[in-house]
Amino acid sequence: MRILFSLPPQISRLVLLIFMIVITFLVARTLLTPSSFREHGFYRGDALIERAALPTTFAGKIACGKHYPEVLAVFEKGSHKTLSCEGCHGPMTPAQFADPKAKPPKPPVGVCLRCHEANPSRPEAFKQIVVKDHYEGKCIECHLPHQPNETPPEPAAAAPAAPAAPAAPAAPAAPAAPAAPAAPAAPAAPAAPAAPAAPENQSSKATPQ
Amino acid sequence: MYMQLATAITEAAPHFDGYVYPNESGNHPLWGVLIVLYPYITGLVAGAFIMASLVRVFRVKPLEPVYRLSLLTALAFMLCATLPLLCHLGHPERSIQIMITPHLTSPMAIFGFVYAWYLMAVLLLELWLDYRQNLVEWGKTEKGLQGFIYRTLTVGVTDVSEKAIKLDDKMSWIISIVGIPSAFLLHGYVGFIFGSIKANPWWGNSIMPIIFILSAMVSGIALCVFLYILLSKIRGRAIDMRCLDAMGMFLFYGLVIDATIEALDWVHRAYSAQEGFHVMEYMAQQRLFYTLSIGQLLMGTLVPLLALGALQVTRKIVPDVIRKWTYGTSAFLILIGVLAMRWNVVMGGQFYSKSLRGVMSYKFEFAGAEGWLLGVIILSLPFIILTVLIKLFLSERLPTAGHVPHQVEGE
Ligand code: HEC
Ligand code: HEC
Ligand code: HEC
Repeated sequence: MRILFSLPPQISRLVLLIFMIVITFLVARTLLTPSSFREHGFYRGDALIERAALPTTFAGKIACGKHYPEVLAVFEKGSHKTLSCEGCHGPMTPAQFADPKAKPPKPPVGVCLRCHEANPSRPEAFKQIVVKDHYEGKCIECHLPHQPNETPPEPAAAAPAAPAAPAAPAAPAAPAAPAAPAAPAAPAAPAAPAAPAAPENQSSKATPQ
Repeated sequence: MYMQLATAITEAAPHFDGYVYPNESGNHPLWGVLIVLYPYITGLVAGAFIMASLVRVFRVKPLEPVYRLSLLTALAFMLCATLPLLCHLGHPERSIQIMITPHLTSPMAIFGFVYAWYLMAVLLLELWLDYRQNLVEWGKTEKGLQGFIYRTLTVGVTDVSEKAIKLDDKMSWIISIVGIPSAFLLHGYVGFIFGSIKANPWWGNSIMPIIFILSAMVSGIALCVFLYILLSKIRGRAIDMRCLDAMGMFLFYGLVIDATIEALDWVHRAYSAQEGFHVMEYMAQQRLFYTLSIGQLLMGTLVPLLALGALQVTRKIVPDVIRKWTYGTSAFLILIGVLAMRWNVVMGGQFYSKSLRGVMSYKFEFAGAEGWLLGVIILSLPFIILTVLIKLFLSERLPTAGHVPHQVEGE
């Protein structure tokens, strides 16, 4: 103590200040370090117990089906049947889930491309598209998200003359259509028995109103 | 066309070329604008501090007029240096945990201590010792809040005898010397974080810390040049051309070394045909063309290099006004160029696939947690803090006239 006071004032004051900062840090450290820290390793031991006690929140397709039986029923028929609802929609909160009128969160734009954009690292058998060569418009205008090999019913105002093709997506002859590069006027829609309806279908779509 | 454009924007947002692993084709890069700003701001701190130590340690007399300005600049930016990281974390309140239970294998935890050391043991201490005499004087003459601030900052030490001032000098000289490696450590560490990511050929490189330090020094000096010209303009004061010329000289030499080392890095990668170089090359030519080739290389390095280099030769015959403008513009270009360099490093390292055979592109948002807006706000914060600091500690009203760091005065 004697030495501290005999030092020049700025030094003794600094020493005091540093001392205070170090003490504050040490006190804060003891107070803030969780008591179970280092119990098993370099983490909070209690974290394990807390994690284990959390309710399971992943509900899965079956639970979604209780909420939206009509969706699950068609979903199970389509080729997306192996996907889970959360994969596109994201999870609903328990509160939302308890509300029978609640709708699931809308999938983000580009959700389809997450899986379907052509990528050489994907298995070849998996259905992929090169998006800039694959028709124009939003994916869900031509593919039902829950039954991707089905076409959505045509809105009455858009194409009254062209009823929806039930079995396959109607193939509009977009300029970049990969399936029919040689015959843009009469597109050969593979696996689309309802092809005749297609040309009109597309003329109403390709012209922006 | 119209429809195609709309589709391209809405549906095809995450796009990629070549071979990209499925999990890499997400919507956003993990590190966004904020992580670009973090090395930028830290670099400005280190650079501005090194500028100040040119006066204090290396006794470059012509630079005295900017000694305090550069220290205050370093402080203002230091106070904001961690903000981008904290905002990026999402749970900023948890950041205290890495200080409370630091793990030696975590560079982030160690950075907390390097940062605290640099802020408290180097910057604040040096500023305090340098200002102590003035604080005591101002504390006596100033009233109100301002006077209270000055009196508080003296921490009760009012001894301004010659002996005490001499001691201040000695101490702050020592602190400056300690400060130089600390500044290198602070910023070299940022390069270290990138450099230690082995899996990424753009980053995993032991020359990274050096490149970061050199560009930090250049950007810090450029910032001081820019602020000095700006401050003189705002205050309507004449610029000390001797000081500006000296800063311009250091800026030029700094830039020469920085550009050489960075060029050496690229040449070395190209010559040794390192794994992944072709994808970096592609990035430089395509994805990062504007920020790398135009922003960093042409505008941020070559143009200022030529302008400043020409001034080194023709300094005697070029009139003051033109010199002033050239220094100011070059400094501004360098500041933008270094920001572009940070962008290229952070984004460049994320835009190509780990397969080294494909590249991704991302859409950046304007608002939101990683958006442009927040970046602009964070980058303008240090300037606001600096304005307050200048009002308080570089006020023309207060008697500081003729202040020079004493160590130099005694020469
Ligand atoms: C392939 C991605 C995908 C999967 C998997 C998926 N959905 Fe959807 N779902 C969508 C899209 C896209 C929409 C249409 C959103 C729109 O209209 O913009 C949608 C719409 C809905 C709607 C109507 C919402 C509204 O706003 O009207 C419900 C309900 C729904 N989905 C339930 C489910 C359920 C239940 C499952 C699981 C059995 C599921 N979805 C799986 C993509 C998907
Ligand atoms: C989570 C990944 C995933 C997402 C997201 C996804 N799909 Fe699929 N899709 C699949 C799988 C898996 C198949 C089945 C592939 C198979 O059977 O070979 C499939 C099949 C398809 C098929 C071919 C159907 C057939 O029977 O030929 C179409 C068309 C399709 N999806 C469209 C869409 C559209 C439109 C969206 C966006 C609403 C979408 N997909 C989103 C995984 C996905
Ligand atoms: C204008 C209507 C239309 C739009 C819009 C459209 N498709 Fe298709 N899609 C079709 C038709 C028709 C086929 C079947 C014929 C073909 O392959 O060209 C098809 C086939 C597919 C297939 C199966 C490919 C295969 O190899 O069997 C996938 C996957 C697919 N579409 C995904 C998408 C996605 C994802 C989008 C959104 C980016 C989208 N489609 C937008 C009409 C459309």
